[in-house]
Amino acid sequence: MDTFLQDARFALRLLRKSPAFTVAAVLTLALGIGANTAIFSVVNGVLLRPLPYKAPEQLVFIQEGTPSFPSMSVSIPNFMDWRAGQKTFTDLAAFRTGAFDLTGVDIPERLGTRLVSASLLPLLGVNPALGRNFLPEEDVLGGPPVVMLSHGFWVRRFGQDRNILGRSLTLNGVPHTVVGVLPEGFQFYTAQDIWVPLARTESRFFEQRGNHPGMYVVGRLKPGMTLEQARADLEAIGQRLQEAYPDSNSKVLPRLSMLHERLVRDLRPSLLALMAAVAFVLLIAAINVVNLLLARGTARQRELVIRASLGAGRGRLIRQMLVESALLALVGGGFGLVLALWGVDVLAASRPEGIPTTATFAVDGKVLGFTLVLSLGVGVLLGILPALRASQVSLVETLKDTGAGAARFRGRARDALVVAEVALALTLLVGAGLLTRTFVQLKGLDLGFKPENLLTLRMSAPESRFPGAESLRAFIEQSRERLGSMPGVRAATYSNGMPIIGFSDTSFRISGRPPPEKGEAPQSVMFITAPNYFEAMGIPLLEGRGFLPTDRVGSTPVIVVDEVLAKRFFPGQSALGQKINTQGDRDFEIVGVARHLLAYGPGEPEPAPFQFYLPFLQVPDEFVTQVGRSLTLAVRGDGNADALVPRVREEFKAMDPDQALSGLASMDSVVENSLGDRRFVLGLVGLFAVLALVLSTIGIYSVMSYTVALRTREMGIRMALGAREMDVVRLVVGYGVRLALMGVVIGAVAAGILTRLLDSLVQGVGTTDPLTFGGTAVVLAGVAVLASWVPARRAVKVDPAQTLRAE
Amino acid sequence: METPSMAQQKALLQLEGITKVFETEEVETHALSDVHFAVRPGEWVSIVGPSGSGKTTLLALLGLLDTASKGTYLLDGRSVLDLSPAERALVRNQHIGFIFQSFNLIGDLSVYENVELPLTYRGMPAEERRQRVERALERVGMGHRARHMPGQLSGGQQQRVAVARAVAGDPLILLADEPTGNLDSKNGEQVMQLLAELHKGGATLIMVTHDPNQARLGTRMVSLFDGRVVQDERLR
Ligand SMILES: Nc1ncnc2c1ncn2[C@@H]1O[C@H](COP(=O)(O)OP(=O)(O)OP(=O)(O)O)[C@@H](O)[C@H]1O
Ligand SMILES: [Mg+2]
Repeated sequence: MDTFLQDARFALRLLRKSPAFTVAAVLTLALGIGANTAIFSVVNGVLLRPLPYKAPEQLVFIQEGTPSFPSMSVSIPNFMDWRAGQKTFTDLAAFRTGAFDLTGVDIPERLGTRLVSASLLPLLGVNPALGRNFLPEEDVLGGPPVVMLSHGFWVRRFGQDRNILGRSLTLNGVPHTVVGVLPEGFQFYTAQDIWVPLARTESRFFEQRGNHPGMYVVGRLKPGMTLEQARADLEAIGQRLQEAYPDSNSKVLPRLSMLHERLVRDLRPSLLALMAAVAFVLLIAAINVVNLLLARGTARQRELVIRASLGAGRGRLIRQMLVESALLALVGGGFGLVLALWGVDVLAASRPEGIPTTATFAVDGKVLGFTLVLSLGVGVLLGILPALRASQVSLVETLKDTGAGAARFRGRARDALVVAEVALALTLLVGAGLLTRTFVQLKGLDLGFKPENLLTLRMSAPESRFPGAESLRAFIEQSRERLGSMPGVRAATYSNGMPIIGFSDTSFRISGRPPPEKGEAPQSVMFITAPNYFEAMGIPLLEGRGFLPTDRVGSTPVIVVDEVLAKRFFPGQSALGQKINTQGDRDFEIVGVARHLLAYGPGEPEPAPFQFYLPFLQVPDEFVTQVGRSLTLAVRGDGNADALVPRVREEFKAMDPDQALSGLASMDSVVENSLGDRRFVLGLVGLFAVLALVLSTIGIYSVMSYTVALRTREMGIRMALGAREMDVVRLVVGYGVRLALMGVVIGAVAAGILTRLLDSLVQGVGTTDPLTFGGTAVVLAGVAVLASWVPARRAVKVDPAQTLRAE
Repeated sequence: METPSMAQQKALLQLEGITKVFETEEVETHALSDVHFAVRPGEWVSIVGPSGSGKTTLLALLGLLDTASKGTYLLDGRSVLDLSPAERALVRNQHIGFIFQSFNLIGDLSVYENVELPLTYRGMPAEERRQRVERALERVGMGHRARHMPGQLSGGQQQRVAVARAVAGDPLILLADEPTGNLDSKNGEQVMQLLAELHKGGATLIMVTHDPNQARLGTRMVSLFDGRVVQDERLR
């Protein structure tokens, strides 16, 4: 302990004595450690920190799936049967998302709604902040209509009025009693305005076992139960349901995963890529500091040799070097933590939608521990080379006047560090390059429709206000016409769904062909649209026609399919005139083939690979109210879509003051947001790649400067012997470039291996894309030339005569 | 020439058949060849010889800074040639005091800390260290400069501090390689006087020097030529 303190005091004295070195080293390390801490705080928040619920390690996420559609939501009757028959959970709870219109107030509003079974809150271990949870008798079909408010909505709409309990809100035309307010800061999937009992779902979903209405289930394992036991339990029930209901349940089985695992599944590759990128930055930073340490040169080495001759053993010297470098790293880590605190704020402010709302980015104990361990690790890393050097020098040096003994070892170490630095930077730049290429490519993809100047908004025309199919159709068509004829508006249209924003999918078959096996029917995205949908959205029709005003109830049911469906089911022939069977065994004649849309967003997988369109005006009376409950409007203006917002609101107010609108957003921003996760990752990896490039440039430059300084004599002698400036410059630059090229080759091999980890993030370009690799190599070689050219110029400025005299 | 009575007295250090070969890329240099050499307690041995004759090499071997290619080396009756690096560090620390031509004080440690350093390595308690350092500095007349940094001292003063550092741990033997080589004659004389005092106090000294006058201050003079002992002369 005594000697440890002495080592520490001595190390501090050294740091104080050379402030330039200390500042450079500490800043470099702060940058590296700070970036790592910031990213780790994200990884910690998303992957490591437990979910903010009671005993979150017992929570299981349950959905359904078949071999060909592994990711389906849960049918309500199946959920009921699981709940009744299971033995491995303390309870199960179901939840889905919907939208309810709030009317009877000054500004009607379409409210984001969570429909949940009464068991959900107790299962999560959460109590309402005000009032109570739903009662079991409110959680059954026909039960009394009640609502809980999210804390945010309660604040926004009711100014935190504590007398809200017992008040009545008109939701979708039905009075609902407010029974509770959810706690502040409580998060469960996306934030919603209100919570209502699952029983407020349309009753047909409780009856149709084959319907999977976007509902998912969470369960809490009984203490001691494993996921495997729970899976066996529910799958056994699933098997029984398959046998009992072969029509609806063929091949359908429950799929279980831990809730936390499921929430972060899609983010894991991105976060690991970020961790890798930022680790590379730290390695490069550490190499720069090692370079600085080595460049402190012979003075240090002489001191070590003297210590050894006075009886300091090898372990003793190594410990001293480690104490020094650990101290340096800890100071760097301290400043890095400050940087990270700021960085975490920036990250939290720019968090993309794909990060679960339950995740918070913050510097907590685990992050602090990470920083400490990381700093000490870096300290050891930094100390290894000087320590090795300390234990390798020849002690006889003390008896001589020069300390030139280990110069060769140090020189080779420096070279190796430059090579490593270039290799690391190249790997990181290649990764960033691949992500950039992917991003640019995705941004450049044809969505299949024109998103420019398009304002989208959601509305509903509920049964309560439009009794009878005809009045509803009339209101919707009237809205379209009035919006479409506003000045500055080119077209207005509507559909039950919109690409990227949201839509439903459905199964179908080709009429007249043998039906597919149960549970294996192909799935298609379905849009039920206004007659002018294709023109207004800018969706090209490749064959046939779009919808006509004459496609109405009573005329031949028509359908427009996309090119993918046409090619897959009618290869080598025209799809026109063929019939599709869907929507409860009804036949639709194909009248047009449309361009395939990137309906799920650029670069996203397409669970339902086909797309088709049905005319809204042909929807039979009994289904119109159901479709009318949720429509999306699209209004294309002459200019910026956002400028249309107030005028669209005015227009609706004039038509019907009770009409609730929501989700007003320009299609451009929707497309932008759909790339949000990628932009987040790309932005950070790009930032780190630039950082790596800058750090390695500094590294190459300082090593070359140092080498040139050591070789000034040699340069002078060469020039005295008749070498021209060019020859000397070429000598130095050639040396730098040789090192860089070695780094490029090693880096390219490493990148070729490591970028495979980016597989899930890279699209439209191979992970060994020659353009990215080549471009990056050229950039780094260029940097190496520059970084050695500057010191080389300095070397030839030396007066050769001067050099020789300075013997 | 050695007298029989002295040969019977137990040697403090004893070299037998010591050979040191430096192997470089092209040539083998026989820096020392078959050196036999013994030193008894209280002796002051001056080692002389032309440049390149192996003086420094011999001193490095004696001080366990380097290892011989062949031969045996007994220090206080114990063979020290096949020790591990850690054991050699321990022997250097406890039994050998070095005085270098270029002083070799550590510039970032104060005078006091420089003298204290070998004692710290020995794991000596702080209080005992303090007493020893103060005593050693008083002995060389540098007690008033304990808080100074080496850079603030003259060459002669630095060398006196180096002597203090060498003797602070009460080594069996003091090794000095041209201790006055970097000093002017006046400072050099002072340092030699210091060594003479140490010798009078009972210290065993082995000193390399080029100066015949200094060499004569010792009790014995060993001449090297081409890596061999060519003369071993008792002076007093
Ligand atoms: N590390 C080494 N590698 C190769 N040869 C060496 C090495 N050290 C010393 N020598 C050689 O060994 C021989 C003895 O050298 P040493 O330094 O012992 O001489 P010296 O007597 O101390 O000379 P000086 O009076 O000039 O200090 C010389 O020929 C020298 O070249
Ligand atoms: Mg010598």
